[in-house]
Amino acid sequence: MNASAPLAGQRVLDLTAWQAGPLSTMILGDFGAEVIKIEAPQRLDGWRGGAGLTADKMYERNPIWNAVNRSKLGISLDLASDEGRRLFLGLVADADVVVENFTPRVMDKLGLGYDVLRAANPRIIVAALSGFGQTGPWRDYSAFAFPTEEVSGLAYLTGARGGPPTLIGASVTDAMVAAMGAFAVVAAIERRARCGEGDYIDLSQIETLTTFIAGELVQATRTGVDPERVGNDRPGSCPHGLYRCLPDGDRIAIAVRDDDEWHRLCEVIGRTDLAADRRLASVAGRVVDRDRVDAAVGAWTANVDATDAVDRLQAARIPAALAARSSQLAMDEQLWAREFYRIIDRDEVGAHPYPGPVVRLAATPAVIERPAPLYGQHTDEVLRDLLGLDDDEIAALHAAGVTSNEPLAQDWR
Amino acid sequence: MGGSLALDGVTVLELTTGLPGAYCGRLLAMLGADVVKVESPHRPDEARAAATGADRFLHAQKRSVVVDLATANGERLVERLASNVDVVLDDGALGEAPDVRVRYDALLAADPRLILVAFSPYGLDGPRAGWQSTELTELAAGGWLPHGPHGGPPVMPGAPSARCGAGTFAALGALLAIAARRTSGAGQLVEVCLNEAFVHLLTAPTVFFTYTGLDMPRMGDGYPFGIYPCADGSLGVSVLTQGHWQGLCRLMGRPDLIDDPRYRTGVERANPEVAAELDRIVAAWAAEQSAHSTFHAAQAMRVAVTIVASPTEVLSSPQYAARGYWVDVDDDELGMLRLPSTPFQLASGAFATFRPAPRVGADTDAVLATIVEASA
Repeated sequence: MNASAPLAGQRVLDLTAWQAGPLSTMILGDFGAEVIKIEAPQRLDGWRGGAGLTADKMYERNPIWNAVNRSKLGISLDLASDEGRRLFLGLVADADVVVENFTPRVMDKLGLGYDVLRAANPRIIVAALSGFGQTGPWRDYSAFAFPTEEVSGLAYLTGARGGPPTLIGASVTDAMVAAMGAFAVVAAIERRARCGEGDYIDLSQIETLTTFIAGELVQATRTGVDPERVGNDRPGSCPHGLYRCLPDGDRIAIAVRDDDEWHRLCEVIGRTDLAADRRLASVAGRVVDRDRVDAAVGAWTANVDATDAVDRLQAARIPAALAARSSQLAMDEQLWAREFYRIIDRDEVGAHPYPGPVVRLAATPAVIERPAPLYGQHTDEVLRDLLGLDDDEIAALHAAGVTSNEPLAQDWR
Repeated sequence: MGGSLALDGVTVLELTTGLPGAYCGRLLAMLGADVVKVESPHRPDEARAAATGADRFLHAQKRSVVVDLATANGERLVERLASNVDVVLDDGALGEAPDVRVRYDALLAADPRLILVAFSPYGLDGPRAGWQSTELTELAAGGWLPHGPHGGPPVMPGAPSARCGAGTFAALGALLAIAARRTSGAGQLVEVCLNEAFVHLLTAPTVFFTYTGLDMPRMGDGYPFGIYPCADGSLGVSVLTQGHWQGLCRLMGRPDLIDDPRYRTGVERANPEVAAELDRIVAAWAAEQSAHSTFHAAQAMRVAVTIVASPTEVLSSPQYAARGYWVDVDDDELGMLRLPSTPFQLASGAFATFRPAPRVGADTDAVLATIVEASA
């Protein structure tokens, strides 16, 4: 462990599964916390796969599971058993943080509510990252990325002009919740360093996401009507959109923020006649004549290689970028030049590049070396070193199915 | 230091005009930091300029000073302010990447305890340092717009969620630097590269490609994840697990589908032909349902069928209200407003008391007087 890391000395017990919770604890691990991920032998993290995927250890091969569980130790422990629960409380006694993303009923059902954890460790910080929060009429409703996008107001606002509500198309709301979860935990750690008190973080995923639409909420309050969907239009910018280029119809984004940029764009696309057109001199005029503007830009991009088009626009200081597919992102020149991707070698899957630090601290950078744990990889080590169990006791736990070196269920989704 | 808030006594100078900096500043203010927003006539604040009212949320609990950054006096003043605070947030007020690095180094050398959070579109170095960006191009470069819904043109998220996500990473970075300073005594540069933050918020596509050699397909256009028109609006339908699938069949009154070998597991249902067939079944069912009653009936069965809430529905939702999510503000210009309070709750209640967003320059005299005093 890196002693100067921001979270050095913080031990985090991670009960989370899928993406929002695991990504939040991964960030804590990247910055020096000792994160111990706990999975039950009978019920694995859902990302590890579904029915029919136990063959050939498929549960070790999910790219997303491996991506969001690096920088952690992994142990197998059945919290629903009396012995597992007792051992877990033993770990809590000497831990700093517990993070879970169950629906609210689960921790109480396990007999591991906040009161119980606090009794085991008065300074404990517990972070609960549920879909709807620990209280309120919808508390027991379950959620993950897409439902939270739908209920929080985000999906309603996304979509083509005049078209239906639309999903963003990837599980990004999980990552936003993960960022907020990690922020809340580090804030609680900072507060405890000052006043000595632990805390309980009740994060409702929809409430985090709804803070992103404050402007739309204000407008809806004032007018009593909901805003329209506007596709890729944004006030004050025209042209503003995606245009097809060579060689394969790859799209680039172009955003013109003011009249100076419009004039420079006309130069780049060889249409100084448009720059001289008084009807297009202001944003308002270009919006009225949007079809003509888009046709002119599109006629130019259609005959230029995408990367060349972006280079020429950026040389004229006009915001432009390739609408990158995952393959292009994975090989992106700028991201590699800055060593954003980190290659981590892991048993069962070999070496792969993974996204690097979420934020770069110059003096105490993230350390991204430890691969996502194999199932139960650190069970014995943690039971022995942190709880003082001897080999016979550990063997008995294995025999009783309280822990296991491999999943005990065939279909855990 | 005492106090029961995480950032009591921490001062933040917000030089940023973009949304990531504004959101970051607000998060720090919620935890008790004294966030002073520096507004310059030459660099209008994006949230204020947009005039949607988002600034009432983003700039709440901050103070506002006006300093003309384009004058030598203004520059000196900002340097004096910077040397008196714990954290500076910058997204171009001090210069553009890569040249701004020199300025940052000078500020950090002048005050070794300073934490400088630097936002940039592509990072402070590399071949694209200094490239221009807007939210649209940031989304494109970050991999958010490779394909559009149903094979059509890509569409931006309607809310600036990615920029707020980047702002959250930034606030986290500031906290981590504060934690590190506790032991080291030293501040540092905290670099927030929007391109990298956006890629991180996606995570799945890049690793999906490196593992499989395939571009990750778009999700959310139909079974197993989609939004379907219903009798009085829209319903979101999500099937992530075998339990969700079986529950959906029961909710639709089609338990017969559960035992149909063609649909048995996610493996069979992932076949595009089968998925299209299921999409038609779900669409036909959804068309007859009403949104809110179906949402509650589904959730009672632990099925992930949800409303697609509009802003007015969010505002009138019993869930947010029951949790005390809202702050009602009587705004001089805009009238009664309902704003989100905090993105999470704490048993300790350790958040700073809400204060409405300041008018531009409301605290100029008070802040400048403190600085003059401090350096006297």
